[in-house]
Amino acid sequence: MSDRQGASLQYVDIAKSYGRVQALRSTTLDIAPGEFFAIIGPSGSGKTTLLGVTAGYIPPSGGRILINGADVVGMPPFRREIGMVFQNYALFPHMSVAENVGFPLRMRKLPKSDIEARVRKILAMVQLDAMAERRPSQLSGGQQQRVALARAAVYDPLLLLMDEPLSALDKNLREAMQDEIKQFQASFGATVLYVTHDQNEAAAMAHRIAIMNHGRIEQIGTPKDLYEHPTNRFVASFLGEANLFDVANIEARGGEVRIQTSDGLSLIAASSATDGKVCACVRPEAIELTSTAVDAANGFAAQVVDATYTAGSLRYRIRLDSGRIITQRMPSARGAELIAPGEAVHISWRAEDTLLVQDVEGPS
Amino acid sequence: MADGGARIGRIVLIGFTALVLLYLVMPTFVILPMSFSNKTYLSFPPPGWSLKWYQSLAERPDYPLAFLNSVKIGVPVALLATTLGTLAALGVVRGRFFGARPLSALVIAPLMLPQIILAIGLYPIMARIGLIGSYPAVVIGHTVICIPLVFITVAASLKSYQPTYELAAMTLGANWWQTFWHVTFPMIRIGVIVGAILSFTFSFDELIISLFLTSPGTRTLPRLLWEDLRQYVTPIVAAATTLVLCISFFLLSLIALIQRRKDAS
Repeated sequence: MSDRQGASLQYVDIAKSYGRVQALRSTTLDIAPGEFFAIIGPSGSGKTTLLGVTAGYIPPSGGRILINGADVVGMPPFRREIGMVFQNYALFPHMSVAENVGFPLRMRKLPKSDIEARVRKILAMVQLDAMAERRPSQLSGGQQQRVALARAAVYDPLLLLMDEPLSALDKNLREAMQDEIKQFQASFGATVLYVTHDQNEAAAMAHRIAIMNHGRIEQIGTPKDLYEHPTNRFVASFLGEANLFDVANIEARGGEVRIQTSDGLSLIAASSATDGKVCACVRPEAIELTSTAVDAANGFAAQVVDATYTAGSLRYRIRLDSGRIITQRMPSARGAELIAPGEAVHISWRAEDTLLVQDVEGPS
Repeated sequence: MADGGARIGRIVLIGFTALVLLYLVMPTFVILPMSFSNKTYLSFPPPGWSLKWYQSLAERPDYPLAFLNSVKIGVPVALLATTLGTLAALGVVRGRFFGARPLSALVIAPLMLPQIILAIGLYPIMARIGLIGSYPAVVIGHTVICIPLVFITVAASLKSYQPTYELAAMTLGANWWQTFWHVTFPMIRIGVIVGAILSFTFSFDELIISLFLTSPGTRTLPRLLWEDLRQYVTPIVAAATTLVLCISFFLLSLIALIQRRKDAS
């Protein structure tokens, strides 16, 4: 770990509208020093706008941005001392790797010998010392990505912004780079704001995640929090898989909540409902699949529709008697046989695994 | 037969292209031999050969003077038009403001207008502010037409890449000027150079505005050629024209060379 402390980052009622289109609705958010914070959401959700407002090339319509307590709104990008990695790296094509990485230091008018030493050091850190004299176009995608990272970090910014930095890489390289960036951040000690549309990437890397939709933050939490306790339908369906049930009637009796779904199923949940219109969410992993009926709060007779095997887990699609299709997932135990399509099974889950979430899609 | 049809189409196309090229270069091929004529009148083909018209070209004092004037006007025109045209392109392509499109049409307008209209418009203005016949008058006149040339080439360069490079430079600590100098300019350099050469070539060849705005003292080479042509039709005109053609051809080859180097990199 580094002894350097990243910057704190606070947004206070920050907003951006283009004419009548609200790209970013009034948002308040606190990011702790040294935190790896990810923002995920579909395209057009406002995450890129939030990043641009933070870097300083999009002027906000209102609100404040505090970096280490100082308001930076109105400050030009080149005074903010923020490092940023762009989606397509934006490496200057007319400069060599070393010149690209040295660029921020030259702009700061550091002595030549200093620049050389720091460029050499950080290129060694990202294992590109041998490539210093090459042009960006002569590097692979992963190498270009590392140059962009080195260039954004060479002047020791306390805050690093990353805009979908891995989206141009293929899957295997992407996963390797995830680990590399995480390790880099830990040894470098900066606060990271990481924007992606890939929920798995965010979950793998971030301490906390904010999910954005329609220009505002729907929910903030740790990856585990968001997955296990989504507050609304959008979050529940955006993050991982969810079996969602529209609720027709809901009734709290004693310690449990009885739910009548609109397609005629009776479910039992543990916690009482949130206010307003709700729907029920059951995660595929929470569902038990057995050959005979077991004693559980929620249990249904069902039939296997199909089974898929993907790296380490089994995913079944199951049809209830009502015709409703449910997704179930479990780790594949060694030697376990796949259940054939058409076979009769029972599914069940605990009352606490019926999650009640707000049934809103957010204003559009 | 589809094959035969395609072949006939190809032959027609090649023939057509050859004809177009022939018409384009024919005037050049007529002028060139005429300048080596041994007679005192313009005739094609010349009855005999000599270099005497090139010699008298050098001996007459007005031709070198006019050539010098054309350079004295062409160089500042190229510099001014390149600066202003580049700034206009930066503003219209990179700036996000209301009315950018109509503005770019306005910048290009002088290129579309008949030059005679521009000349007639500029004449009384220059007369009133007392510039008529001076170098600044014709430099301003030519610059107005050359700004669109630079604007078009630089705007095309700017549109060929995403503005992310400039955003990146700024987040990395480069101020506006540093961003332009270290990132934008190297990326649009080809467009700027091509625009500058086109501007010089245009100014060097231009007649109508020079007719209106120059005086005998600031007379350009095209204007002298035109005046000479009206008085005595000797092959000296063909000799001078050949020289102008050579210079223009050289500059245009330079542009082709620069663009080929850009494609290669």
